[in-house]
Amino acid sequence: VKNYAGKVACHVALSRDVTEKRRAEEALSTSHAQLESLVARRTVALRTLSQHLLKTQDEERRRVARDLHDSTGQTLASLKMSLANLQQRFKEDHTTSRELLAIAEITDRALQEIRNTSYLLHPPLLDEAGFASAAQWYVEGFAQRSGTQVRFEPPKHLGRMPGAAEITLFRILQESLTNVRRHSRSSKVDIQVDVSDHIVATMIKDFGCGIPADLLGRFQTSGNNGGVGLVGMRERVHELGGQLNIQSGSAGTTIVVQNH
Amino acid sequence: LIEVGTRLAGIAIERQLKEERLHLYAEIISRSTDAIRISDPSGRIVEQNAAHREMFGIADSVLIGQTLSALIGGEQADRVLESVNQTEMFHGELVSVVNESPGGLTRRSLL
Repeated sequence: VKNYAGKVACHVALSRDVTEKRRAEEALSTSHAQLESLVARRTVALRTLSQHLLKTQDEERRRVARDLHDSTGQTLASLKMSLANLQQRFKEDHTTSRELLAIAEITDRALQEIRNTSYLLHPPLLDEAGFASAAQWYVEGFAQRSGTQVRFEPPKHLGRMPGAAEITLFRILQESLTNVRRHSRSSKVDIQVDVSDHIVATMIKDFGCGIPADLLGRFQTSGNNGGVGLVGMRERVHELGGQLNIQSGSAGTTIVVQNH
Repeated sequence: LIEVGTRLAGIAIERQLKEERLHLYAEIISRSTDAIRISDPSGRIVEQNAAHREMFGIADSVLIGQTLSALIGGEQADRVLESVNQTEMFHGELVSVVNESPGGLTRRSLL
């Protein structure tokens, strides 16, 4: 404050105590940090559980596939052999022979269905020849079953990848094509697998109606609400240390997985 | 004589009005819930109101005549004085060095 002569007459200080405000802010900040830490720990726990469930699911599928093939498949094969014997024995009895033939055809269909189910659950080719061969087999079967036009050229120099990578890519391919059939209404699918600098880039592109924007937005921002399929894909790729990229719009959906 | 008397009476009335205004301002400062402290041009504290006394817990007999550094320490006091010298004001958050509680007592001061 200055006097009439313009000289400083005094200093005036106005103080307010903000101790409680600062303490409250610190408490809030601490509480926020604790909450964040708790959420992070829970997220890790859920992710671990999710990955464990996916592994368990893979193992279960493999076991059921083997049981179906080795047990039920063998039983049906034995039944077919017995029927062949009976057909031989009753070849003069035309009525019985026709009935046995019908039964043999039903047995063949059952055997084929068992094989198909077993192979779809876990294709033996995946273990025996690797992802490229299993993918080729699966894509051909998918095109035949669904009537979808699929363009897929297996990479020539892909070679074998670690088992976890091969099963992850196969499951993502399987899930993506299932989504194409169930949701996208696309009549065409392009699949590309490129290998460059030890990175495998797998792209599955359809030309359908796309994933609803709100569903995809929630999945990309919160990582949830994308349905079990998308969440499962993300968890599988995360477990592998790879990257999952999904782009979708009215012109279709493109899913790209990159892994080492 | 009448003219001189009238002028003296006017001066007396004017002085009384000024005294009343000064008393009013002093009351406003005294009853303010904001802590107010007045220092002379050399920085010596000459007055504090009740809210200031309660906030810092220092009696007039101890505080009057002290400098700002007695309340907020030399480093912070230098910062405040530098700002006052340059801009004629200071606005910021300071930590009191008196009456310090375990977490430190933080006060916002305006000079």
